[in-house]
Amino acid sequence: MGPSSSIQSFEEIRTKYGNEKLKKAFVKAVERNEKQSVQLLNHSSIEFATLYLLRDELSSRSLIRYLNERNKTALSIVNDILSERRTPEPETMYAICDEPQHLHSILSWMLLTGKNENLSMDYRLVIDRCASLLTTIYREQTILEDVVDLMFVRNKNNHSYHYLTWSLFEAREPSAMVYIAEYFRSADSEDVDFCTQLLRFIPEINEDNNSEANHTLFLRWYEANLPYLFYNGESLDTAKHPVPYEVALDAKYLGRPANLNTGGILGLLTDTEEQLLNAYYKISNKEQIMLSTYSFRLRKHDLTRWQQWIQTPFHEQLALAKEETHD
Amino acid sequence: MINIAGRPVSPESLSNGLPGGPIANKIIAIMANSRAVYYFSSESELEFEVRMRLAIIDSAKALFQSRAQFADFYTSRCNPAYWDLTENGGFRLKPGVPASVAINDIFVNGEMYAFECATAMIMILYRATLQVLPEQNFNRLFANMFLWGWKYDKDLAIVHRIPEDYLPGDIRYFKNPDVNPMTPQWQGENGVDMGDGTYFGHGIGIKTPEGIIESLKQRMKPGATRMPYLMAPATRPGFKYLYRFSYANREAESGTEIRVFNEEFVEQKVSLDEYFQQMDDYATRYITVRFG
Repeated sequence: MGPSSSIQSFEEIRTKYGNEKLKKAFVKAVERNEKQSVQLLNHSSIEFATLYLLRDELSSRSLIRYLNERNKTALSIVNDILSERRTPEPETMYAICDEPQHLHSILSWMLLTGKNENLSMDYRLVIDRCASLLTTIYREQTILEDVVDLMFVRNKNNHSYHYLTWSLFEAREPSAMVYIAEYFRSADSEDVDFCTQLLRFIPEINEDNNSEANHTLFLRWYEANLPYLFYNGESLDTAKHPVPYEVALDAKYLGRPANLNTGGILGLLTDTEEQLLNAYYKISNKEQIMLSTYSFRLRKHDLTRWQQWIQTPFHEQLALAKEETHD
Repeated sequence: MINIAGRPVSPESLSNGLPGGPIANKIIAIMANSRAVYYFSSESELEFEVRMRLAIIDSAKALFQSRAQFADFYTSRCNPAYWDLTENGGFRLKPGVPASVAINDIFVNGEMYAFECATAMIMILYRATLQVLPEQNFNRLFANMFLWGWKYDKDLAIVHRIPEDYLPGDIRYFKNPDVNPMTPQWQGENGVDMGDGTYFGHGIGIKTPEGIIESLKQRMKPGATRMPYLMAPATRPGFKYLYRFSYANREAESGTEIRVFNEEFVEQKVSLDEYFQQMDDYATRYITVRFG
């Protein structure tokens, strides 16, 4: 059996004949030639689930020494995640996480090649932790679509998506909502319900609308508010319908982007802008929403007119906005 | 300001039926001194909310003393005599088991249970609800109970928003923005406002806000720069919704009739007792229910 056919066989056995057959086939191969068999696991085409399933055999037979750095580190990460106690002291907490770049690529490999498997609760925990390390420590945005897909698979299979959802929101990347909203187009009502639950904080999105209407509402809201969104820290730990992002209404009113983390207006404000904001903060929240929405729409449709409008005294701005929005 | 049946009411003018004690007095005082108006249909509705807030605090204490442990969703456990542990770490009420028995068991046989802090809050709200509703109504309302974080709360009519005032019995959230991603179960802590300057958080205990923040700081990632903090929203059960199923409401509504209408809008009058006995049937077969 040549190396490439063995690799193919390991992967094929797992996917076609199941996990137990894989373990038996591996043991047989090791008994013939342990070093060569184990080194076959070092090939780039091997997926994380295969390594995970063989970890007990590798450990009990002292075969880990034949693994490459990727696999050794991946198994260390697994052991670290599954270890019963994690003391809070930093000295022990990050023992295996001293090599950021190395770990980044290995965590990505574990998540991306392993996410489609559902081997056990422990396995799902390992995948969840890989996702949270990638989104919070490495701020990895290329995996967000995969995390969203995994959340929907978990929901359908009645498995926990609680920590995955937190990982996704903690990425502090509003575009992740676009991937969620794509599930409004799913033919599966469970997907649509879950999607609605996650995006219900957006005005007018609710269970009573059809999914197409909700998708349109999302796209309109996203387009109108993206530069002004800020992350407020809510997750499913906080509420059934968390509000992960809020709109910085003052930034939207002035047409200035907001800081994604704080909601503060980016850049320095002119004296005129300061004065306008002082007046703006004194009106009711309902009026603020109306004025910010009016300002955005005017800016979008007629920039010249908006530039004239924003220079008029605040009370005149408000009066015109009220008149034109029939408030 | 407190407004009962359309009239402003001062705390002194309230009857002696209200629960006493410093926490109850504090709840009434906050409402009475607020710029916001707290509307109630009757004094018994106000009494219901005060009693339920006290029951939330009592249930938080009971959970603290129950020896129930903290666990993430992967390692949750429950008493198999009353609950089925689901694959996502939730607890589903076993068929034939009254919800009241199963909820009480969590507080009595706590050592058989382990769960996350959000699930703990739902358990506290259920126990508090059981303390203020007739057991029969509780079991009817929550016959299909499923405990899993905040997700399944329909019959508690939970509201989560920034309130005008914070009141004892509110549930607040301490966010841990720089939590170690290896332990996301410490991403934050739901805490019951105990009314005496302390909060109960499952897995942390009863502490001041500073104490809870200090506990969360132990779970931050190395090099963390953002400290844990108390978020502005408060979570509350739907007191007005639950009041409809209470003893107090039945007394307040005694002598009144309930008019129900079927799909052909044919009217039928039933007594309050009849309505409560066949509540599920009326809810599914009749489109409108009016209190006469």
